[in-house]
Amino acid sequence: MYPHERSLVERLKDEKFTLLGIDSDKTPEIYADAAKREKITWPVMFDGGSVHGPIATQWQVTGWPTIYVLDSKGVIRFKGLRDKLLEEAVDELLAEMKKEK
Amino acid sequence: MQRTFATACVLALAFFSRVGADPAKEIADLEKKFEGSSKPRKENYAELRPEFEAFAKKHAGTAEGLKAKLWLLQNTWWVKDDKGTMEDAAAALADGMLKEYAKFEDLARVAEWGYVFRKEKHAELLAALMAADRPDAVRAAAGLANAIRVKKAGNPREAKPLFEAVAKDFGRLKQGTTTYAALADAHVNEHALGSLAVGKPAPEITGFSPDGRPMKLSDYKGRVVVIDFFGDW
Repeated sequence: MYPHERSLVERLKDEKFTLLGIDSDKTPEIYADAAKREKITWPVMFDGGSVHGPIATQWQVTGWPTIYVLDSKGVIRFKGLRDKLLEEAVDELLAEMKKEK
Repeated sequence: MQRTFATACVLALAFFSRVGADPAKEIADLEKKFEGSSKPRKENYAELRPEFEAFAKKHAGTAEGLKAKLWLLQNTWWVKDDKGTMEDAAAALADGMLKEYAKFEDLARVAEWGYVFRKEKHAELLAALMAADRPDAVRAAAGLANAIRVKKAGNPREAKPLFEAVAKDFGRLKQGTTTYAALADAHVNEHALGSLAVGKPAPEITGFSPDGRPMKLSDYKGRVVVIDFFGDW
């Protein structure tokens, strides 16, 4: 996942796009190690230190990774996309946003 | 006098034979040996189980002894193919730990592993862990696990006051970097799956960065956002 996320964030760095990670690791230290090793530059929320953290609980997440794609109005537009399909979905929503302006 | 000298010798010997043997490091190394192995988990468990058992026996009654017992309990999962064995093994281990380690905070972890117990046994253990004479960390974890148990059994209405009680009694207590208040609140205000469907406005998310700064989803309003629930495992 990491290399693809990294390239997605890098490719769209000048666009109105954000990748927001919700991390279910056990400790902030585990995250810090991963962030350093995988060069994580995008915003991340730390979900309390468990796969049963408050955010994953509220969103009923039971599998990782779980992906939601939101348009610029905050509406859920796609779920569970990976790799190329995820790229295409994001591009489509960015194009849609520009068209509406 | 001679006897005193002999006793002193025995004590000195006992002391020096322990130098270099640090139980905390020893159990951490054992756990690493399990986590770091590339062997199939089940095989790895079968191999390390006697080592954990020996360690638990040797260090019975100490925090490290409890750690070994907790490992054994959590990993009864790996005998699950032998019908009945996992539940029986888990029940026997937990019963022993609840007596032997009655006042240890780490006992809270027994509450987290509902999947190794029979349903009735799980309920019984949680009730015992919620007793007033247990440490708060144990009572809070058991209270939350019990509310989740009731919710998962299909009784969310019955579970709600249980979550509220956890928030009221132990709300400020920490679990990891979050609090029991936040965890109980997340359960009570869980989003219906229908409200997380394509076409629905994404519910607000509030949380904290790994270094503790408050963050929220609406900070990224006006942008295309990919929300990625992930973990480094």
